Amino acid sequence: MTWRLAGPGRLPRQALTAAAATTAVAAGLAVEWAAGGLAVGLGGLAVLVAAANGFAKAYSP
Amino acid sequence: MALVVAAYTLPAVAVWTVLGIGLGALPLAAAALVLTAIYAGCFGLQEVAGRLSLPAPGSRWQVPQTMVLGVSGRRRILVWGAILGPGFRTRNPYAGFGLLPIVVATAGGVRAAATLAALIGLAHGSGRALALLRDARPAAAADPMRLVLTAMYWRAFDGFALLVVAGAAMTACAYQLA
Repeated sequence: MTWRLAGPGRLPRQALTAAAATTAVAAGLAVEWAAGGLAVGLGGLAVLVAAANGFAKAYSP
Repeated sequence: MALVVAAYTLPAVAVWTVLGIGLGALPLAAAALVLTAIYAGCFGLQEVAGRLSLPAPGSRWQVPQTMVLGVSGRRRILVWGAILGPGFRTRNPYAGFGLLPIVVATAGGVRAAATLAALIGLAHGSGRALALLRDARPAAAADPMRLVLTAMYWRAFDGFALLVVAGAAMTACAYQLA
């Protein structure tokens, strides 16, 4: 079974994208706030971005 | 398998650590934090929206065939690993990679920047090696259309990750101002 949030008769895809983008920024704000602004959260996120970028390059046409 | 992981990871850690020492020695932390928020916000929005008006920063250089043709398999792995593991010399399709040196510069101090850079090198090099090992399996036959779709998904993922980083950088900026 598949279901979709976006599409005809459902939410516009742009609205979903905007909501997801806002949630992502808010998650970043919360991570750094929880880390006390010591850039520890920022460093951890950078390590995750590095791992994802290293892995994802294999899937670049 | 161990050779592939080591060939990609060790050069990556070494190159990134040297970069971290250099960036950590410079008084760039505050400026780099602001730049992190701007870069991650702009490229994150662009990748999430799928509108690629600004190309991701990077090099178009590719490994010359003369470096890998006619050499032993072990040496070829070492050459690929030394060049692709750190990630600076060849093309970077996603903007996330360009953010990493800027985040290293935010660490402030040689020890913190070198440690963060080494971890980034370890993550990038091992990620690259694991993707290579995954694709080396016979079942992973290349399908061009599937490859394009997967690249689109990875670009969106990179965009969302950049937006999370942008949020984190904004909070860090606010803490520094307070």
